Amino acid sequence: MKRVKVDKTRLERFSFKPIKDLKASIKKKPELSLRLKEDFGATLEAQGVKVDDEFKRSLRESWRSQIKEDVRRVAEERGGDDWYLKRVLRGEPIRVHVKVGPEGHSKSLKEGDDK
Amino acid sequence: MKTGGYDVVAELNESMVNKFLSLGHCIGKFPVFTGVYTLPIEDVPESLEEFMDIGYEVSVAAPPTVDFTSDHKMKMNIRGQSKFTVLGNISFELEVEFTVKFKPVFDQNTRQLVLDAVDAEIDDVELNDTYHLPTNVINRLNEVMAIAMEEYLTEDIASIEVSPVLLSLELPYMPPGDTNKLTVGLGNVKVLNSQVMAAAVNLLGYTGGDVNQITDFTGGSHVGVGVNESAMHRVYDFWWYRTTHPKSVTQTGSHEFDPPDFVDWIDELVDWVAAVLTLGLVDVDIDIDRVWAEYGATLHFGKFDFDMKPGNTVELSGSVSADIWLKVYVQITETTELFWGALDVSEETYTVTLFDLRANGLTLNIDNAEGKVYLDSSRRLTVEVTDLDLTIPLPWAIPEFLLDYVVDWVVDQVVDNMPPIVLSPAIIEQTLPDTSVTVTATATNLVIDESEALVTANIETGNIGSYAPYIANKNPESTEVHKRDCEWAHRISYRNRVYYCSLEKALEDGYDGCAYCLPGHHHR
Repeated sequence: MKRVKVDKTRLERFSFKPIKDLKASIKKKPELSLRLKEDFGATLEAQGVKVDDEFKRSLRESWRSQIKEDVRRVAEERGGDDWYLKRVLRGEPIRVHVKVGPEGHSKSLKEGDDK
Repeated sequence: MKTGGYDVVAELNESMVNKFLSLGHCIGKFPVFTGVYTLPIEDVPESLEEFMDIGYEVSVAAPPTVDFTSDHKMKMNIRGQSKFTVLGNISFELEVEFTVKFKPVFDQNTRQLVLDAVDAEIDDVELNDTYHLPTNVINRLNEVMAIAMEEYLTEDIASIEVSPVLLSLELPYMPPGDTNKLTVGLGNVKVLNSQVMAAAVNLLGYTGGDVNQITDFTGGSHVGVGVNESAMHRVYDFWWYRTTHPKSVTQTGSHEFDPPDFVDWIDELVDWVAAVLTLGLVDVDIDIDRVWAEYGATLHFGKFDFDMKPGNTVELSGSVSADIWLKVYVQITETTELFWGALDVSEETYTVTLFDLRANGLTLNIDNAEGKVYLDSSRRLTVEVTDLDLTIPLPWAIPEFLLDYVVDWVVDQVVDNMPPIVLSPAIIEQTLPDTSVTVTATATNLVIDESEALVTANIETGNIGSYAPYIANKNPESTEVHKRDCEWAHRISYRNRVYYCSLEKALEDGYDGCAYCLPGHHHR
């Protein structure tokens, strides 16, 4: 569908303490990169990173927080009419005005909320 | 307030009452009555006793008709053909016309207006004296007819139904059992004017209302039914706490997003997938094949508050408790330098769960909702919601192509699964008790003001074929009308049969009387 090369520098924004340390180690020892490719889990563990449930939960929260920031950044960069998203990013409930019709319902932002 | 503070007021036009009398006549509610009156003369020799008896046989020749009177009663005119037998075996026939005053009452069991024949007053009896009988004989025969009619009304007729079943006791989506049916209490019955009478009833134990405040709202239609707003609230509450209609629904769905949906977010999507896949450690080439979402919601609807407004509108508000979930997947077909196995990555399909979100116990408020009150296909007053504001406190900061889609979907689920707002039982039932006659009510108007809904309708009856005393043959080669029991009537093919309650109507429609059973009307 769409092939995209990910720039490693773009991924640096996903800051997570255990990974940060690992990245520093890879920088010092480039062969770590190959070992990771060969046995990802064992190499991580050897580097002191234990991929358990707690690791995954904490990673997910970190990533979610980053994604939220990304969403806010993209929304701000684009400006325009981000409909419901603007209200979510402002921490406000979404308010929708619905006109009900037999062929479907037309929805619009509640008057006054589209600013 | 035209309904005088009663829960339900049914108003009947005189023409509809006459229509039902005509129907009653057609289906045999006015049978022939016969009897013997013995002249109260003392010391009659035994050999003359049989000459003291006056035998009579009266058939109600035409459908009775009523006039509404200023003293809130109904005056019914009954025309009959009387046959007297005197002096043992001498018979003669006279036309007779009775005028009887009835008090209309509402029958709580059948929910029909009926004329109470037991308490009827015979106002006048008039024999059409074609024999020029002496006045004292006529007077005596009139007395006989009055006594005969009283007996007829009390014993043979008892009550005369003059309306369809005005309202049902049943509401939709209710469990079986009488405790889940509405209870009707009688308010009052009143003749409002020379054309319209009203029956006022209350529901579910309510006892208010003032009959003198009821006014005519039929607007010339056969029937008008007014339902007070306070009754609608009571009916809706009764329905809501008993109904089997689901108040909670769980709906799920899935959607595949096309590239145009997320083209603005492609870099971010790739970064997020890469971060999930590789912990953000290395460069990757990612070929995004699919982006799709699976989502669902469990909605628990609360009871609506409503307020009638002029112009057939109603204002509504309510709330829905909701659990909403969303999973967004990205499938990749190829990666390079893939450090897989860290988080939710399927080896086989390389599917990454990008979002796994759930929001439980959200309260979605429905405000400023407006609806139209209408009579549904079951002739119940129902609300059709036309506009509403929905507040959804969903905290998900996700790309708007996902957020918009799932929010719109949730809105559709709320609107589409909203339980109905049942305001009244069915008005005008489509059958008549103990008959196969059908009743069709065609609404002519519906007016809502702030305190009541007023429906007017015209009534047609059908399926009288089992009862009609005359059957015409519409085959162009025949066009004759027969008495029901005529052997020629039985030979008419069903597709050519036209049923008539009255011979006059059949003749008006151009049918000729059968030479065999209606020779007096046979002219061809």
